[in-house]
Amino acid sequence: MGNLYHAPDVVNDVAVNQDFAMLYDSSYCMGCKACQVACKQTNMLPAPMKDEEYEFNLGGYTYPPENSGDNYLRMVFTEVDNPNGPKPFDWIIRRESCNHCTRAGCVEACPTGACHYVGNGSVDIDPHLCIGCKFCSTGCPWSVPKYRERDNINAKCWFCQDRLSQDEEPACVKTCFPDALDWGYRSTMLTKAQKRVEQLKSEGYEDACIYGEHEMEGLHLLQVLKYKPEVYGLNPNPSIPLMKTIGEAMTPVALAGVLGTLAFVSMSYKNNKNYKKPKLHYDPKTDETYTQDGEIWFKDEFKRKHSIEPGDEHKEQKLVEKGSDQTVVKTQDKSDEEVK
Amino acid sequence: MTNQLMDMKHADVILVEGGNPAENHPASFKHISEAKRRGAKLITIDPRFSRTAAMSDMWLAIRPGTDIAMISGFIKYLIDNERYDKEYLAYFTNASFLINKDFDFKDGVYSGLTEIEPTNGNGGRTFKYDKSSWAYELVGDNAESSGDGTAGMSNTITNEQKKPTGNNTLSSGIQIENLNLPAKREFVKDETLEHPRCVFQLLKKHVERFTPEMVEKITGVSQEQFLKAADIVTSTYSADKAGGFMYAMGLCHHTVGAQSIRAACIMQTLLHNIGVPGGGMNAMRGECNVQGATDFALLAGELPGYTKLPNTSRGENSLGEYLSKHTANNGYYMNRPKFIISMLKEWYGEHATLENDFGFDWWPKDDKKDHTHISIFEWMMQGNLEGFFAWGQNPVIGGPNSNFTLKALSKLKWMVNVDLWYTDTATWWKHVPDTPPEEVMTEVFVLPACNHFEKQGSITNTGRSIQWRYKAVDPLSGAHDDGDMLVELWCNLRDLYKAHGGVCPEPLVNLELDKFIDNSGKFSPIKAAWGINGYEVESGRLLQGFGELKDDGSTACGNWIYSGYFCNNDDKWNPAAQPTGSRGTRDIVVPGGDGDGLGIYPDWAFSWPLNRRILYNRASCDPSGKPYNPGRQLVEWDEANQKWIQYDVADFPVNKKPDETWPFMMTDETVARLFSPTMADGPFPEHYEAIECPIPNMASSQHSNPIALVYKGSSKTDAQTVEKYPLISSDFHLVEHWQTGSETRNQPWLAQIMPRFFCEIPTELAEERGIENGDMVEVFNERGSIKMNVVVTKRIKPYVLDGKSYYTVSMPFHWGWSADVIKGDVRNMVTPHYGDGNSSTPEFKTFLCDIRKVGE
Repeated sequence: MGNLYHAPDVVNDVAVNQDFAMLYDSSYCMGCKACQVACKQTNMLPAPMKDEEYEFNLGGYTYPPENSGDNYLRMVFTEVDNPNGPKPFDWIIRRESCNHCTRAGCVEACPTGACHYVGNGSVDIDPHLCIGCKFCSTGCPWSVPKYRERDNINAKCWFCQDRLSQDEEPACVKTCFPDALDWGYRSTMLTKAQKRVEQLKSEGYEDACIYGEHEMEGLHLLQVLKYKPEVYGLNPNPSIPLMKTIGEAMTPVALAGVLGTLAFVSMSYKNNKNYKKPKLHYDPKTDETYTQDGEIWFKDEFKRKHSIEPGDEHKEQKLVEKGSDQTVVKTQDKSDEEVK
Repeated sequence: MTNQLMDMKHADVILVEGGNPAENHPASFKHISEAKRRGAKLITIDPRFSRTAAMSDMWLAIRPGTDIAMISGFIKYLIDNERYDKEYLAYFTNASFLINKDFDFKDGVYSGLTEIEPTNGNGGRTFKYDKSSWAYELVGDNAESSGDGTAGMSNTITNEQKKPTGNNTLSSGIQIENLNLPAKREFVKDETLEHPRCVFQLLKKHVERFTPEMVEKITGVSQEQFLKAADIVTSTYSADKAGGFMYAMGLCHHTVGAQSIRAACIMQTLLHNIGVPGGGMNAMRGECNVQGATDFALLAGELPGYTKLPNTSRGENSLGEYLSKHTANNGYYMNRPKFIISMLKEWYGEHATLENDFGFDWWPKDDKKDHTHISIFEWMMQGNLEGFFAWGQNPVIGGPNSNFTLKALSKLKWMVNVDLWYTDTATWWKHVPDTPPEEVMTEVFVLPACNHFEKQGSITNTGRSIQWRYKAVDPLSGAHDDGDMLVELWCNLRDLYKAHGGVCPEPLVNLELDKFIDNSGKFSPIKAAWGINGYEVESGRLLQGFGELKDDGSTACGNWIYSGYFCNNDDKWNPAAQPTGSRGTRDIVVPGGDGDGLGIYPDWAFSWPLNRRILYNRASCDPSGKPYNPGRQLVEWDEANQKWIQYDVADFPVNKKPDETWPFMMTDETVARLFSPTMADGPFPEHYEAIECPIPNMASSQHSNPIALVYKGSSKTDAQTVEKYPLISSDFHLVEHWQTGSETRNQPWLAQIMPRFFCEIPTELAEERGIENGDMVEVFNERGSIKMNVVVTKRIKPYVLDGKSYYTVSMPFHWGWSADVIKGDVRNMVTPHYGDGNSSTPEFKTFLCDIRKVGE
């Protein structure tokens, strides 16, 4: 595997048809929020600049109080008395961000096609197609996509597709100190999660489980939990809300509203349809990003200068190691390890 | 830190006491996580259920300030259950040494406690120890000693028990006036460890009181939990197991701070966790370069490289007298004259000659007054200081008793604040209590400095690795490198002295700082690095290590422990070609192990001393040189070839056979000290309560540390304090903010993840006082009052004694008034002026206060 981004026709001459997933292991997460800051930084999301714009949140540690169009990710802290585990008391930490469903409510609810399956397991909202109608938010079991007023769109975690296409893990995974976050093929992550759950059970966490294995036909954010999902405030059986009931609940007044919205949607669609995002391909051998027509779109001079020569076995081995579930391959030269 | 962060993965048990690495040292948690993945147990001892406790297998809710009782309990447990190795203790420690007949310990006080006249500037101390009875019994005669138990910074004073030889010739053959080198001592030992006066038996007797019942009474941790933890912690005594001890400010910020750390050192030494991979006494350094700052004389009373300042009150008036006192009679500090004379030569260059004692007279002298943080402000308040530099420091928020600090600052004529930001210490004059800003007469200068991305130089991290960092961007206009500012200041002062003369100009005029200035007239960190590393005076050749230092003035070296870090003579101007700039990722694999690397990465930067990654590594193999835990040894005796195999750089002279080596070569005894006469407040750690504490000391009738630094006046403590202020106040740090917050509170992304100042109180207290989660409360005592939101939590447990509950109110200290993004009250408004008996470190973590609700 030469690319963490799913691009079936490019990947080192090997046909790959697997989804990627993120694994969040709550039993290794220490709640340092480095991922939160990395997310804000990599997506260049602003934060309030004035003291008056901030408020105290009950419990004192979960900040910001809600996710928003400028906050795709936050850690939620909960104190639990007598959880079913070896500890009499625990302070549990959970990641709150987009779960990237296999069957995504946002995609089904989106009237413009802005919410879409990227093809590698991730779900993204195309800001150029989004009209800010918030249907995605109501279609999501966890109301993940949030409206952002400053550019009138709905926004959420997009698993850093830009970084993936450059052979980098999502920013939160990259920054995680205790390695509570991991990125790779979904099957690999699932195996890893299952192993960890077994281990947790043997340590006395009887309710340890994976959240996301089957929910919404499989989430691409897999969470290893020490206790039942309810303890973390997670819905154990998520489903797409409202979609079925929209028609039933629709009154004539609402209908007018919906028709108006639809008219707006079609206008916006018309305005935006001429935009075409070029399909880009990245060639790791030459370090060039090019369009489908073969035109060079972006050339990373810095990376080319500093990367290891193509064909270097070190690099090849490391990349293999990242994606597959093999035991860790030592990347050091044997000769280096000789004892003086 | 005796070990390194990467080495922590080898630990079988990690005990975190007085620290919160998940919160304050998140990078270290990568390695703790790795250890956990390998099956290590993590135990946290903390008054709060911290983020580290959330990651731990066990949390012991200790009452603030009772760490010594807890660790003494562990020591008693391990001695009672014989979880120690007699052979190891006899060879590697002073357990077998006999102690002077006069040594005594009664009801919380050691022999030799004497009252002293409270004089101005001695730190408000009224007692000191005369340490003459804290001595070893020597072969041939009864201990003859000249103990001087003056309280203060004495943790590395060499042993007093020295017999002069009349020898005044140094190793290079030069003779120094008044020099009188000490003779080697022969100690009386009992290797069976049975003699009632041997250190081991004395220690056993000392910790006898700390039964599980007593530990429960003092610390509030139930016997059941204590015994469970003690079993896990002491299980690391076996040779195939290693236990790491991690601590930070939770142990330091008490009037018994230094002794708390010593208690842990004793426990780790008894358990044989020192000098082995995965073990160690690991001081988690809270700032990226605080290890470097400490190496370069952070403490008052020290010179770079852990060298004591000469003390005229102890008769150290000339180089000869000074060296006689500070040269060891055995062990590696026999080489001390080489370090001292090379340092003098580096400071004063050609002005330093044998005739003028190498400029010894120009060195600052310790007058035995207390010059630590608290006392500086006490001096200032009395009007004894005219000017003050707060260089990269924010004492208004970071120091104790902020209201007092503000008033003290207003007594100055001028003050200079050098910082990256317009900090609270730059804007203090707006906030002096009872004084409007226009009436503050102090002239305040603010010099903007550039940060570490805007200049090059080395930083020394918590594992003693000195890493070179390069300049990434130019500083903003007007901001300058600290080095430039210092050199410019020196140049101007020197010129003024030269032009106008003055009292005693030599220390400044003869100081050769111009050698650090490059052709562009700027400070050159590379030139400074040569001076720190050391060089031959004649040729300028950089030295390869402190083994090359001479005591005749032919070598110069600014800090002997750093010698060898910048030593490549072929490419002197290129930091990348130097050990400190190297970034090799080679690891060492020990044959016979599990094939996994030791994690010491010897080619990644340079770890002082001599690139040694794990200190005291002689202890990884037995007296005959065989590994205790095959596969995890750091050195090994090769019997066939009669030489030492070094996996890590050996911490002893490798030209000696196993039975001749010095197991712990940095002490005069060449063994680890379980009994240490160098501490100011007792050779063994003793449990004392904090000065302000509503709970009586149950271990003895001596309530608090008799030689603690106590300024009762400025702390406004009196007999009524205990009745008026029933709550114990403690503090903690948050991962979201850094120190006084001047950097993080100005950064919106970081401000957003923890915007509001808060205090944490137990649910029981909240019910008692009718306070609800999120209410606005006021925390107050005689020293000050602060407002914040309240977090009502089950993560702090009340301490219950005889049916009465005592509550702890905990606050972070990162907030202040001077940031652009978020602001809050200053926590240290309520902190007293009490300090540790040894180091005078302020008591931030246990004192009294009260709380009331002021709003919803």
